Amino acid sequence: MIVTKTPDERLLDAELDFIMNAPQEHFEAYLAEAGTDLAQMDRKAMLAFDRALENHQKTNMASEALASLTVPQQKEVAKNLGIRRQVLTGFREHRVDVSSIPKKFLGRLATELGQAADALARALLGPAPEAMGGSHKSNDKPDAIPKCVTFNQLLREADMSEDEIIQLMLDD
Amino acid sequence: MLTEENDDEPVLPSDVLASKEEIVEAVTHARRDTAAKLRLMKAAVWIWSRSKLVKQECQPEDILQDAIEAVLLGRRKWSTNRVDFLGLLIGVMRSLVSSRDKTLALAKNNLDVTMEHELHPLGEDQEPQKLEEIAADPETTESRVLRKEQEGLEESLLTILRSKYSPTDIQGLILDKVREGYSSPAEIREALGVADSVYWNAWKVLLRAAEKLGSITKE
Repeated sequence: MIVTKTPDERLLDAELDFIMNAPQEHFEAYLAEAGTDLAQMDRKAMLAFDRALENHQKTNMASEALASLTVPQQKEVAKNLGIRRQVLTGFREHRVDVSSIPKKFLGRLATELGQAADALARALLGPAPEAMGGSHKSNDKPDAIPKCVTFNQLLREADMSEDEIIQLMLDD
Repeated sequence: MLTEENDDEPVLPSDVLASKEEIVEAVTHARRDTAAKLRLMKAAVWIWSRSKLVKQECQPEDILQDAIEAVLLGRRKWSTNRVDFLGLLIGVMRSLVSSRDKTLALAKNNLDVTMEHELHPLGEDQEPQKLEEIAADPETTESRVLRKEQEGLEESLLTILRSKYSPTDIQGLILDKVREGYSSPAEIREALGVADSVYWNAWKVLLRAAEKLGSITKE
């Protein structure tokens, strides 16, 4: 019965339960008594949905652009970026810690793909396209997620030279 | 973006995970549902207002947007057999804000280095605590004081709210159960043996009172 949540967290649990589960007439009465501007609140919610859907679309495009590179295109992109294809594969598998990627490199990769850098960053935060399957019973163990590595580690795994790594890690 | 860490509940073998198409359909459906949007925005406002640091850098609608994106992009899984879509988004908003609050607090603490001569004297001989004795404790003196203050504030929010009602008022009895640590609202309803309409009406009054209290403490 006794839980480790703070009093504030328990209070918030109960408040959110009201917001989620109260019958519509109780919820509407609460909004009316609170003097809520329903039209403004609806506009803000709509904006949140529209922006999320728009970002999702851009993110999907970036993810798709990375996933659908043919072998010759992968070679070309890797050559232009000064990396081995193995590094690009790490990106295609979405197993790079996004916060460890220098902005300069992320921008160059986005340009190669014809996408916006922020959309590419969001895409890399999510699972790789093939990992987003259909509705299914989960057969995955919780620890079966591909191991995420830093950009620096990825470069080292690919046996890039120290000089190349220093150049690629530059963020100016 | 509120994207730091993923503290989703672990996926269980029995979980039925929603497909990409099912998620997009649920988002599209919620977008058209005014009642659902109002509940989500109101939840975002409450979660935002209870955050420690996140409320200084974004607005409630940003929290909602980030939660929708996290689900759309598959960063947060939807176990359809465990939670409905609104419940999922509210859970994700709480999780993202909690995670971001921790990250911001850590970043703030890293900037606040406490020197040995700044430590307050302790004990009879008024000697400051040795750095080597507190080296294993990552919490700085200042952050500890702030945490204690915050805990005191949280407790007092509930205490002040409770003090507004008599020992037999339904609102007071509900808050007593919250303080006792009852883990779910369903358990509170059952323990008090009150009709659903009485329970919901009491919470409507409590939310209004908490809102007024919040505006008073902000001032």
